[in-house]
Amino acid sequence: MVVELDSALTQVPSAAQTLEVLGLCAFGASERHHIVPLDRPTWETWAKTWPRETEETLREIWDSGEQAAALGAHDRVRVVPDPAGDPSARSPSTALTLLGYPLRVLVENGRHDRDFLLAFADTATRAQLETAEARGWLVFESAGGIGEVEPRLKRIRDHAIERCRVFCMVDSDAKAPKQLSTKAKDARRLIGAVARAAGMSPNRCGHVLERRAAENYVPPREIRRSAAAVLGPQTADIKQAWDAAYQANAATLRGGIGRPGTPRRRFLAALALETLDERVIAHLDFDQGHGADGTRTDHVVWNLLRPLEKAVLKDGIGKDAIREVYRRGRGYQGATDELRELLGVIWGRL
Amino acid sequence: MSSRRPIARISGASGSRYRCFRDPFQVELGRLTLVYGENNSGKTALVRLPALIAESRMAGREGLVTGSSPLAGASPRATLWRGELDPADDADLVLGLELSSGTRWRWTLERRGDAGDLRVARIQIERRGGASVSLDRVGGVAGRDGENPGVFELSGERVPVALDGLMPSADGLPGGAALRNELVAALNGIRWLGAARVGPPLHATPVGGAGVIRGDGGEAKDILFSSPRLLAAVSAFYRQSTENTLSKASDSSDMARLVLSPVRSPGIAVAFPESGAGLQRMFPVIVGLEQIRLDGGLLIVEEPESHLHPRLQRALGRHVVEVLAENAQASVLIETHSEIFLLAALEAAIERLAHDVRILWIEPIEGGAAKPVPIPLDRDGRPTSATLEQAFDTMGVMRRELLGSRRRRGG
Repeated sequence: MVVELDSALTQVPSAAQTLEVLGLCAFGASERHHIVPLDRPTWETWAKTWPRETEETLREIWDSGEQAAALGAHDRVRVVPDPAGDPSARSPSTALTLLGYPLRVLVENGRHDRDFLLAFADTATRAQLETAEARGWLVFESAGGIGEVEPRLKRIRDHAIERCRVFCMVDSDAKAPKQLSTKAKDARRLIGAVARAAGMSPNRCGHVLERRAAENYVPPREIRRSAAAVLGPQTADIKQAWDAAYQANAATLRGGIGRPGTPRRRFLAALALETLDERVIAHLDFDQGHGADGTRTDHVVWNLLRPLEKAVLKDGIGKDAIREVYRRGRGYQGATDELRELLGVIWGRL
Repeated sequence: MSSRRPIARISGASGSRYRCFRDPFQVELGRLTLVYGENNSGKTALVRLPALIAESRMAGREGLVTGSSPLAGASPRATLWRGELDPADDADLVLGLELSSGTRWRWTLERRGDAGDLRVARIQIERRGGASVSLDRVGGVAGRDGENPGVFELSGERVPVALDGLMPSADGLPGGAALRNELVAALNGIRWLGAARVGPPLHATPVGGAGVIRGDGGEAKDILFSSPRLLAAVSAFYRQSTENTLSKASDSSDMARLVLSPVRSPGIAVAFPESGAGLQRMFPVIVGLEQIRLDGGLLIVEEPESHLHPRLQRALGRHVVEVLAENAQASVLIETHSEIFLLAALEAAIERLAHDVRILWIEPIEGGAAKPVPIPLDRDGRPTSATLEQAFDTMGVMRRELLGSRRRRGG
């Protein structure tokens, strides 16, 4: 976060309050938060009242803070001696408590959703998120399923500090465009309530994925690569057979489509995904495809597929295969604007 | 401001198997786009892509024109990704441009023979809200220039299409003349200035036609001499930012040179080529900027900060913004390492060029490849990724190390 220090803090009367101001600056020394002195000349004078080494360190903290504030979309907190009547400001002691809290990213499954998000982060953002996680400044927390998100958010909403240090991400479970599940709608409503209570915009507090689930963002190229690594040189032949069958609008291809879960089937499924309509990508059940009873994917969405695509996708790709792709993932291309924004918000809220 | 008919702006670039960009990419170009990255990351390859397509329009000769400045005489093969590919992946080079009208052009070039010649295999044109056109090569007519015209399949029919470089003749295209003219106009507006720029010659030179600005900045002086309006505009920039005026000194009726004169006295006027390297390297950039201020178009500049003091970098950054704010048909694509340009761009993104600034970072990926990563800005013009903050932290790290060293010595 960017911590803006009001120049009136240089005039606080008690030693305890002075220590609190120095404590706020210490967040800058550890590079956890970015400290920006408002009215810098006044703060320069204040810095001169300290021993030389402290003075130099304060200057460095403020220089770094100003640069970070200029180059990054970080959340801001303004600190004043007495915030009475100014809801946007914090006292030094409240600010210390707030800034000491880790940012909690509440997700349905802490481990897998963390892997999913980090797989799409650019190198620098990933490095900062991992560093923050290692130092305990960021926690990916399992809610234990979407049903548990609502009660957790209700409790967080009513906690004056926690509601300012949480971000929630859930699947939409939408089988078709704009058809969020009831639980996803509840989560979205609660995210809005937390945001209002914290005085933030809802997109800074949480996000309901636009696509059905985290699996629906997997880059087909990565599925293809993981399958190709097992298949070896025969991938060129399979691709050729696929192209021929696709051109002929056939329901199968030379050599067959392979059994569910095999590298051959996954490779073919990835080839299908590379050319699919956006609606299918967003709402297909990537885990189970059409399902044994034909209910996992909406009929309208399913019927957008060609016969060959239906054949190779009818059993899905499997959650585990996709999770493995995310676990190994680094800087995946194809990160949508949605995911870029989501990662930017989490980074900005650290 | 120009009263000429609006031309479509180059609003995006795409490609795959192009230089270090192995995987397909597509980037949006704003009216001001800054491209950042480490050395040798692929910034130059990206900013030269529009210039390469613009150059590849040689009448009667098909394919990429690589003998000209953007590739400095390299063979066509030099444009290709040279690392490994998955067995099932196509090795074809794909290059594309998007225009502000929403039309997207994409060329697929296939490798032929051991010499690495590239032949246009497919041309795809997607129109916003309209039908797409795809010309797929099925053969060619052998002749002096290889197989030009080529025989392409268009909506199931075979049609001969002659290519001027990458540009198909209008005859073979549905709605051809309008599509082609729109692209030609946009490509005609591209001016490219490489990192290795030169200043004007020391000696007086003949005053002739305007010519076209070259990648090394040559001809910039001739362009300036051909237009008193341009000369006045360029001189005004030097006066404001360096406290010197730039003027034309005539040695004879048809020979002239540039002279730099201090505004304040006492001062000594010098031949402009005897002034500092920074002022000279900046010269073609200022001329290019004044050209797009008048005529619109895309100015591509590699490392405009080269040899410039931070104060002059700031002046140049602000000048770029001022030019763009004045002519909505002008755009600038910059490859740079300068934090000062970044700050100028971020400030412009708040108001003067709101929604028109794009920042790209070239990120290395596995296998020696790279990808361009857009760094979105929030509504206050703040980057929403850690990339730039980390990229420009070097000074902070060095400052902290310096303070630490002093402390260890007890200083």
